[in-house]
Amino acid sequence: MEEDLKKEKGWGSGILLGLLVGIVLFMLTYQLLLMAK
Amino acid sequence: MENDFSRRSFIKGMAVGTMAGYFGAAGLSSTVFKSQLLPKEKLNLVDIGQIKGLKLKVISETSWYDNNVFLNDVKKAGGLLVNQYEIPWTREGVKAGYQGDNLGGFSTYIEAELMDGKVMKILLDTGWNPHWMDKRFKEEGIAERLAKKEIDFQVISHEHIDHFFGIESTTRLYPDIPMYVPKGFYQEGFDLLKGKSFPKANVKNDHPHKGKVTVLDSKQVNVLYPGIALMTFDVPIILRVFGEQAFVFNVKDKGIVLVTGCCHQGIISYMEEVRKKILGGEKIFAVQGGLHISPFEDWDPQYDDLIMAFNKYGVQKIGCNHCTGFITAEKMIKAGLPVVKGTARHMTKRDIYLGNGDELVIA
Repeated sequence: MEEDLKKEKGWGSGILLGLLVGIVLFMLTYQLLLMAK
Repeated sequence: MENDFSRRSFIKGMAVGTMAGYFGAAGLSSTVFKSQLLPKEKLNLVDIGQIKGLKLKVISETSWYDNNVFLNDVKKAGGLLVNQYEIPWTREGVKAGYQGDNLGGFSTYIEAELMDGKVMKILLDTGWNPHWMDKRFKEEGIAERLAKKEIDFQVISHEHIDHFFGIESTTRLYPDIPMYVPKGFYQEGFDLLKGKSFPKANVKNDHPHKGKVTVLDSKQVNVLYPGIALMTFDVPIILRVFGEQAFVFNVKDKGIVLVTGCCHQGIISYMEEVRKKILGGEKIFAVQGGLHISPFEDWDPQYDDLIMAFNKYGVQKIGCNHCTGFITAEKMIKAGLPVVKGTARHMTKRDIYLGNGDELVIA
């Protein structure tokens, strides 16, 4: 049970942080592409 | 901390989250938020200037009188891709024709008042049958204007028979009239201008043109005078013709007015090009001339879509005629489009659209 809870917490916080990183990454590439244009 | 959550799961979650965040942001920015986020396309809109007013007079929109005779001529010669200078066009014995001749022609007389009050007089196209065109030019006072060199220049929309083969009706009266032709004119066209005959096609020019001929291409919007421009389109056309040009006028307080010969480039493409290239092109006030939809009075369901598409441009006056076709005019009226009615005179068969001798004034 405790192991499952740890996994769930791991997934949850990973996804949240990942979403944030993904959005920031996209914004960076978007800005780079705009500058390159 | 180490005991709070599984590191392996955290890394897996972060990988999935990063991918989802990245592509999710890309998806949202290009759809829901595209108007806020995507950069506006930079258009190099041409400011063609403005004119005060415009008067358009249909000299002749009746290219030929009997569709079946015309189509038989083409069929006998080998079809719609045969060189127009090689087709023996029927010139006698046609009941519906002018003095038995099946040939008519297309020509529009244009007066454009510039902002300084000067009125530019322009002849668009020169028709086909010189007897018919001479008569029409005389009836509408064009012959007198040509003889007095009062017409500033002539524009040939394209090289087709019914727009160009009657060239001697113009050059007989005004041999050195300045002329604009679209890029794509064949050598035969220039030869006809210079006085060459084409007996097989029953066409001749006994009055060689001696003025300046300017060939306009499609690379840019050709502004002739403030508020008056020509746009050239690289289009292959039946009867081995290439290229067509059409007018764009910008009338003060009204908007853009498009004046065409046959509009083989397609009326929707034409309006889209005007929107993309000309300042104020989003407000097309009027369209006048041939729209080339059902010239042989046949109908294809795709034309219904074309009429529906026409609606979205908000054109306030449609002075169509010639190769637009009566069926198209009927369908346009049914669809609520503002087709300007004519008077069915001078051999124009119906009053459903602007016919020979009819006028459209925009001021």
